[in-house]
Amino acid sequence: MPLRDVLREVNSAETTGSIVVEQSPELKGMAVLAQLSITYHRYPQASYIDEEFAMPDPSGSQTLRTVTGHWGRASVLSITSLSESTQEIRIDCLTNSERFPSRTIELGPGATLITPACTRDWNGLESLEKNTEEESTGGVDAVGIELVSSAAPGRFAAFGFSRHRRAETLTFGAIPFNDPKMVISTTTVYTGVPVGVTKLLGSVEYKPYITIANFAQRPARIIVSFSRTSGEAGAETASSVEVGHFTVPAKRTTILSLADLRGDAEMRNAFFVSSDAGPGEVATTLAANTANENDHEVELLGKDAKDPTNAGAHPWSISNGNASTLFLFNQTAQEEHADVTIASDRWVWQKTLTLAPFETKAIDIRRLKEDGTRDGRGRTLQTDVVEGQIDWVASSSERIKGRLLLRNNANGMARSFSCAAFVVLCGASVSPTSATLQIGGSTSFVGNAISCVGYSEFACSGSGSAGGMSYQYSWSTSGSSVSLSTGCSGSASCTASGVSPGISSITFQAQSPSCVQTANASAAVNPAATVTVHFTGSKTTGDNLKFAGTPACSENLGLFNCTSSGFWVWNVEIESDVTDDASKWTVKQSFTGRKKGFWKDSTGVLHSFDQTLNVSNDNPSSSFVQQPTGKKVIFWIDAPGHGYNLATAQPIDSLTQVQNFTSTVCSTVTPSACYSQNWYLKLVIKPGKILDTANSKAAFGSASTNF
Amino acid sequence: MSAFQRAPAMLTCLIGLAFPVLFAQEPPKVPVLFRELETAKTTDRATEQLLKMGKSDAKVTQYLAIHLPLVIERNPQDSPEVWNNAVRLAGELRIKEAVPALAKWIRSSNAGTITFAQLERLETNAPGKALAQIGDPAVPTLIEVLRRGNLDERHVAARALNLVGSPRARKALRDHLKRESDLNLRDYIERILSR
Repeated sequence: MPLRDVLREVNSAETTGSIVVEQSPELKGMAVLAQLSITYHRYPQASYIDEEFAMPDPSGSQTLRTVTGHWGRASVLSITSLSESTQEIRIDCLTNSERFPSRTIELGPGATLITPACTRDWNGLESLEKNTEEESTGGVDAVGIELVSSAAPGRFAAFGFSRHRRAETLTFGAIPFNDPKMVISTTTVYTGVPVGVTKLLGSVEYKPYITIANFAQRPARIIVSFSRTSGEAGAETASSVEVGHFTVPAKRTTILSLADLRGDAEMRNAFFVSSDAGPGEVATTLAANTANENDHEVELLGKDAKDPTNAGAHPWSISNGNASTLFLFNQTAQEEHADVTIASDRWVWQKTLTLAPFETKAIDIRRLKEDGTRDGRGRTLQTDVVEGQIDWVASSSERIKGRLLLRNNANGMARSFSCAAFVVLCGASVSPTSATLQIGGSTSFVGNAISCVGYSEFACSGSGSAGGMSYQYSWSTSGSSVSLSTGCSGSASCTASGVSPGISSITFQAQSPSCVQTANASAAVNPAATVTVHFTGSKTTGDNLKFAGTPACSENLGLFNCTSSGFWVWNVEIESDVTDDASKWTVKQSFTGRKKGFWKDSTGVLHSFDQTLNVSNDNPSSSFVQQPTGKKVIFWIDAPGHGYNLATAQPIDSLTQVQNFTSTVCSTVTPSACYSQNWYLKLVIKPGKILDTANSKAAFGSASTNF
Repeated sequence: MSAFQRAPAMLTCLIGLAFPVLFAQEPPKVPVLFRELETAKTTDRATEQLLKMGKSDAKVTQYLAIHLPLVIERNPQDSPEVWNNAVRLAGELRIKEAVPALAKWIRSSNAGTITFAQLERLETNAPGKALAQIGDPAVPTLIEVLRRGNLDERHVAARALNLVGSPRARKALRDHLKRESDLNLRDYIERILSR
């Protein structure tokens, strides 16, 4: 949103001021992000000032601090009141040799004051571009600036501009302020630093230096370490060495020149600046300049080593000669992984990178595209897309620092985007989403917490996707059909066991300190049953079914020659034990088979027969089934076999008959829950109408019909 | 050409149309097939053809209605294959004129593969099954069997009425229930009626 256009729309002639961005109150978390970019076009080489929006926090302090390598009027302060009442702000400046007297300014409600930072001449600022005797002309001197407000914490914001006049060219740099109370650690990390000859920035030799301000009341011991990565992709080596160890007196500043360092030409260089002072008491900046007066100085934002963020989200562009390089630095002494997502509005490229201890990776988006580098799913960057967003995610905080360098060698532009982000819990899923199990059976569900890149640690939504995070997991179920194993608690997987027929909902919950996400699955517990056949002996106790009134001539089980009815039968009892209620099942039966033999006519002549049997519906009638409500056992009886005749007046002389049965019970509650038992009867009648008790057989399984 | 000269041609057409009408009264093949039905060697093939024709041609069933009962009334042992085929035809073509002849043989039968489901469907009793297939027209005869038959015959009649399943058949079973002296059969009829 060009501010010039906004001001023009309201016919405003203002040239300075402050900008407040407030998101709609109905939006949760930090839903809107903004960054202010100021471009100075006076000279052929444009100057870019990228200002992150301050986030005044009532839980912070009344103090803001910074350190800059540009002295006096070369630095300009912009201070804005966020208070509804007038406040006083004391400005203290630290140098390496003397202490400036404090200056106190009065700031009205909502007012913005632009003033020289630290100078003996407080006559105010005539112009941002006005040349003064104290303006920086290439040399550097460290100055620390401390602003202390009389108002409550979070009631003012400040930002500084450093001015660099070299060879009659004026450029600006940014001086961000930090609330010392919001600083967590005493170590600052700088990633992607140009050290020595730097290919990415026009093969010019860069000489880094670190400015340090000690705001504490006692001396601070400073240690500077340099981590360098070298070698081609796949053969990188990383090392970390101490390059500075010194003391900064109380309320003084210093500059550490690192001009003699030899770094990686691809900017795979990083620095740690640590102190033994308290968090926020020492402020540092790192910059790098060149011998060429036309080259801009490169200023880098340091990151707190214990910054709670574990992700970054940066814009990228490779249009109009731009190049975008993501630097990721592993600040730990062990191997780390980062998930990198390069996205446009039409596609996504994702890959997990492994970083050796203290290694810096430089991911050049243009090179990825030109090389056709494939991501974790084999995708390449599309050639027609030239801008978008790049996200990176580490497994947790305090492991990886990253920034994106957007540069254009044609116009000497190099901008750094180092917006940190948080991996937030933004969803959950569970797999499978539905399952069917038996009573007593079990099945496993796996929960998946979905992580996204968010811009607030309290956000529960975000962009992209991230992995490698762990959260608190819990499982619950509604209904009584399943029980969850004790191992479910705290685990991303859960085993559910069937308890009773029905459908239960299983809920997976993932919880972060700020968010709770849930996902549901359903578990259908089918009633279960077993089917067995009793072939011999007596009927089971409790089976009140009767063979009487049928051709079967005994109430016992087994093979019988029933002369009274003229049948050879094998009395069987089929038993089904069900897990719910016997009355909620249907009983089915079918059989196939074959019969072959001879029948003898009235004149004694034998006639052969050979018939296939296929009875799909041999379901027993209710007369022969016992399945009372409230019981869990079903009985039915049958007496398969053959009559003495093949058909009326066709007496059997000999016979071999196989009936292969399938006896089935199906739940009426869950019709798909069916359980079967295969069994058979082989009936053999020897010539002369003699029952062959030795070769007749009934058993489980099936008998061959090849005879 | 005059109208008079056209007359013979029209007459020829009428004659041509008249032939099928005359022969439709009795399909020429039916008597032949029936004779084959009555012969042991050809009875199975003839039965299949008569079944096929009888399902689509009422004249065939009319012919069989006249001739089948005579075959069924004969002693099955004279020619078991012929007799069993005749009973099958009567049932599957629902020839009600065969009901009295079928009733003559509705007695305990011990033929064929058995299971209790097969028994219920009278698969082991060809005359009983045929009566059940004929349906309501057989109900009065089955009532008579219930009244006057022995226990085996009453069992078959009860199963046949159960298979008919019509209101008339169920009423016949209900009416018989109080007269039935055999406990097993009475219990069986009660279970049928309770479904």
